[in-house]
Amino acid sequence: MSQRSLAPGRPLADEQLRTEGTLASHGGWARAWDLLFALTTRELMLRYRGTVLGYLWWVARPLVLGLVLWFALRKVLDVQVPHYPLFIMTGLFPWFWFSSAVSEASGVMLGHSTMVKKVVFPRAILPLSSAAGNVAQFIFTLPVLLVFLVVGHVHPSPMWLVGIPLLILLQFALTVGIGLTLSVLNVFFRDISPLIDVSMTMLFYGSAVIFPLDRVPHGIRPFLLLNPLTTLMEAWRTVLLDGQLPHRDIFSAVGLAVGGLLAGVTVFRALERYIADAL
Amino acid sequence: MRSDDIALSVDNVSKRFLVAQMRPWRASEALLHPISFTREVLFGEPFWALHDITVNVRSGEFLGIIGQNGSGKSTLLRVMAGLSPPTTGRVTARGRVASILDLGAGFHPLATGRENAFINGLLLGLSKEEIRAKLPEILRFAELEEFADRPMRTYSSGMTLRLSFAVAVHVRPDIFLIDEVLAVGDADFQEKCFSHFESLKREGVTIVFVSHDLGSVERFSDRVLLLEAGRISASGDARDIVSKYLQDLAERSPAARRQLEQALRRALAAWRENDRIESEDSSSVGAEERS
Repeated sequence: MSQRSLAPGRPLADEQLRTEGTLASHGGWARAWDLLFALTTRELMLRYRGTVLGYLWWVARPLVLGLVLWFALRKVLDVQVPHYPLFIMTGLFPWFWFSSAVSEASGVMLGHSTMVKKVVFPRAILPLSSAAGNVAQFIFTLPVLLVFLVVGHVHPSPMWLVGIPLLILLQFALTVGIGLTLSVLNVFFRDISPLIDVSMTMLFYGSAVIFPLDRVPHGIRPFLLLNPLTTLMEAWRTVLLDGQLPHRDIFSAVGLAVGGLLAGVTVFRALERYIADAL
Repeated sequence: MRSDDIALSVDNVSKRFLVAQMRPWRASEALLHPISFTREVLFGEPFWALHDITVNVRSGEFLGIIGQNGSGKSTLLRVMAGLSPPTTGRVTARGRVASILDLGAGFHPLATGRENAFINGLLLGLSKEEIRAKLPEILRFAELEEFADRPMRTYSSGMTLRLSFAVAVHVRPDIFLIDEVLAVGDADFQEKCFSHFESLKREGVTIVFVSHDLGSVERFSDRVLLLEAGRISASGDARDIVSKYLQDLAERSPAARRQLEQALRRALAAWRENDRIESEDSSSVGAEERS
């Protein structure tokens, strides 16, 4: 038989076909990165293509909920918390990032089911791109929060330059880990979606997003502190409102982020090759 | 056949689906009926979509796969593409595999044709520089230059096919898997696809083609596999296998026989039509030469 007459410059490597379409098997990391970047920007740009307010919708959600809570808790129930509007906003912005990242990532395989079933590509791209899109969204809305703080007489602190990137990194790692885990589990156990809805409500009130920890009765406070999201939310306040670096309490949040990431990678790698058949 | 001449080897592949996998597999079910659920997972009758499939596709070969609905054609193609892990056996591919298993899989309805072509190229394994350089050529091949900046939701299924096909062939795959999508293209574009297959074949590209369009399968395949209930029931020369399949169908049911007769009549009419056009063509060419 004659040698294959291939077009020049086309390298042909003997290659065992990988059935799982992992990150490394798909033409290397550089291409996976290109794909991740393109999918993320497409999602971000398309989400509000054709809307009148566009970017404003990104900031509208935390602002509107903050306004409602401020009215209900401060004006009606007369809750006494100093600088309550600032307090609520510093909790709500990171909270909205967390909750939309988690609920979006959990539906990402089901939402792209034809693509997952019919196209070979590294499956991890989908939850990663969802997490990346959400952190980008948070970063783009952060200036609004900072302006809000400055207008409310919080002095911009040099610690912001260290603390904010640190917390963003931490929370990003956390959302990636949770996103990987839930996106793949949701394929096999469809109860995940309603479970997330319910848990988000519980977490919202269980993470001291809208009330200061020291108002929580002594008997209950330790339980709230067991929830590492609480320490993360407290850390955001320490950085943004007090202009200090988060103290040692942050270690439970670090542990959560690292643990969540490791768990996510493990679960995902174990199950990713079965995703296409199960959808 | 030398072993280094094989582009795609499917070695003793079987694919099993558990009964539990074929129904919506929910945690609620496992929790509510743990005993019957466990029994079904452990002892339920599994469904074997593929049985002991062994096929070696040579580089530059055009392999057609035919068979009735549910015979395992698409499953086999998915296993070949690496989308679905085989239960037993193994699949080895040499070089870059590109597949069109569904129309516009991975396309976003709100993104423009150009944006979708870009992402699709990345999905099939091109780098962003490569796909950027090839975009104009892709749009030209798909004949979609003037629609490139319209959102995908405005595309007809034929236009969607043209775009996905154009991207896939420009990936320069070594192995190209196509599942019954050409049917939505018009005759002109189908002709263009097939003539493109010819040039791909000359470059050594391996093509595996699943279709119910027996005419095209017979015309272009070097070899045809006939699948029946997940097994290879026949394999060999395109004309023999296609006529065997048609006979099988006709023996099996009167409805199929009627369909076959209709198909034959259509084919005959098309053949006559083709003949007429060709003779007109040759006469007009002759006329030009004379003038």
